[in-house]
Amino acid sequence: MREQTERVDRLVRGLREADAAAHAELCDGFGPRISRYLASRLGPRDDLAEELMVQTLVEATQNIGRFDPRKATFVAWLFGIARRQAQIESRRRRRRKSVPASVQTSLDSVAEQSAPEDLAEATASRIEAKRQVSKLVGYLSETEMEVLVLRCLHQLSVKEIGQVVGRSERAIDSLVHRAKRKARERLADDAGTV
Amino acid sequence: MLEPFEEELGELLDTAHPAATLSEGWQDRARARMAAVTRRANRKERRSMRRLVYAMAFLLVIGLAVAGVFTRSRPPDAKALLISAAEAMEASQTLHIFFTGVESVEEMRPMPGEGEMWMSDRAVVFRYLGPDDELRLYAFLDADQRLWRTYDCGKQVLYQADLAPASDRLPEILAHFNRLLCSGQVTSLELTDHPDAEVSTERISRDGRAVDVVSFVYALPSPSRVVVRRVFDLDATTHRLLSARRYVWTEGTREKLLDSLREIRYDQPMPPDLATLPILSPNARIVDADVSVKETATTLSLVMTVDGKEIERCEVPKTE
Repeated sequence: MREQTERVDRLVRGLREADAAAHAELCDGFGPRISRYLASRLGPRDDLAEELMVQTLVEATQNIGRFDPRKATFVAWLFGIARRQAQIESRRRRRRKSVPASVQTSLDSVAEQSAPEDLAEATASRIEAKRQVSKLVGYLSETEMEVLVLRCLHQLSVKEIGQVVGRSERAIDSLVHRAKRKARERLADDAGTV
Repeated sequence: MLEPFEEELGELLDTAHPAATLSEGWQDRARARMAAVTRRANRKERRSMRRLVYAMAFLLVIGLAVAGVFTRSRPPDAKALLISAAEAMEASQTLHIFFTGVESVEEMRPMPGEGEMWMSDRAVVFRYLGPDDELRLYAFLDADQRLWRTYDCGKQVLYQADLAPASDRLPEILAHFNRLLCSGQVTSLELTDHPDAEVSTERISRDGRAVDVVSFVYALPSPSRVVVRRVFDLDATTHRLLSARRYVWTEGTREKLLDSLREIRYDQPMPPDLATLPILSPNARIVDADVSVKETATTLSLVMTVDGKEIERCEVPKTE
C-alpha cells in the first residue's frame, strides 16, 4: 500500500516536472483501465473510448498543477476527468441510457477475441453475461449502474467513488448498498426464470 | 477489499465487458500529445498575440470548410436532426408552444381542446382549454414571483403555494424540467423509446423555406395493435422544431390525427400578464398549499402538499 502511494507521489512529481518517463508511466499504468471505464460508459465505439482515454491523460498532464491529494486520490481524480469526458460525449449524443459497450458488440467481435478451441464456450458465457448485464442496466438507474461498475469492475473504494462522482462517502455507501441489493434481486429472479 | 457478491458481479461485468484491444501505437500518440501540451505551456509566455490570432483565424477557416463539406456530403440523419432541434430549444431564452388535442383512438386519449405553454429558465406556464373554452388544466410556476399554482377542472380546486422554501433549488429544477421537455418529451424520446421504429427523412420547401421532415412509425406493445406515426418539421437552416403531429391507426382503420404541436415560437418576451389568475369554473375554490423539496440520491422533487397530503409533484433527475 505504502509502496503504491510512493509510486503515485513519484508519478505526480514527474508529471509536474514534465518528465517524459512520467508520461510513459501514466500511459502504461492507467491508460487501459481508463479506456475500459470509458468503453463501459459510452457504448460500442471503442475507437472513441480510446480517443477519450488519450484526451483524459493529456488533460491530466495539462492540469496536474490542480491535483490536490487532500481532496482525492490520484486514481479518483483521473476517473473524474474521464467521467467528465464521457459526460460531454454523452450530452452530445443526447442518450438518456445506453447499454455498456460490450453488451452491444456483435458475435463476430466475440469470435475474433476468442481462441478457436474455446470459441463455443467463451461465446456462450459472454452471451449469457451480456444478457444478465443488459437486464441489470434496464433495472438499475444509471447512477446505480455507474457506482456498481466503479466498485465491482474497477475496484474503487466507496470514498474514491464519491470523489469521482462528486458525492459524499455516506451517499455513495447507501447508493452502492441499494445497487447491490437490486442487482442481487434481479439476478436471483433471473436464475429463477431461466 | 471486495465482498464475495461484489467479486461475483465484477466477474459478470468483466465477462460482459471484455477489455477492448487498444490500437497499436496509442502510447506514442498519447505521449506525443502530452509532450506537446507541456511544450505549449512552457512557450505560452513567449507566444505573441499576433500569432495566436493568425492561428485562430486559420483554424476557423479550416473548421468552416470541414463543416461545409460535412453538411453537404451527408444526407439528413433523423437522429442528428432531432438532437439539433432539442439543442436549439434548450438554447432559446423562451419557448411559446401551441398545441391541439383532436382524436381519441383506443388507449390513446388526448383531451380534445387547445393549449399553450410558456417556458423559460425562470418560469413555466401551461393552459389547456376544452372545446367549450372552459379552462381544463392550468399550471403556473414562477421562480421570480415565487409562486406555484395548479388547477384541474375535474377537482374544481386551484391550489397555490409560496415557493420561498424551495427557492434555493428552483433554478436547478426548472433547468432540468426545461431539458426534459426539450430533449425528452418533445423530440429525442422517439430515439430511445422506439429504437425499432421505421424512420424517414425528407427535405421539402414550404413557404419558400427549406424544411426537414422527420417521421417515425412504430407499433405500441398493446393488444389493440395501435400504430403511431410521429412527424416533426424542422427548419433546415436553424434546426429549430417548427411543428409536430401525431397520427394513429389500428388494423383496418384509416389514419387519424391524434394531437399536434401547431407552432413553437422562440425567444419571445414573456408577457407580464401571464401571472394573472385565469378564469376558473364558477364553483372552483382556491386553496393555499405548502411546498417542500424532496431529495433522493438520484432525483429532486418539488412537492406541493395540503395538510400533509401530497397534491402535486414535479420530479427531475439530480444534477450530477
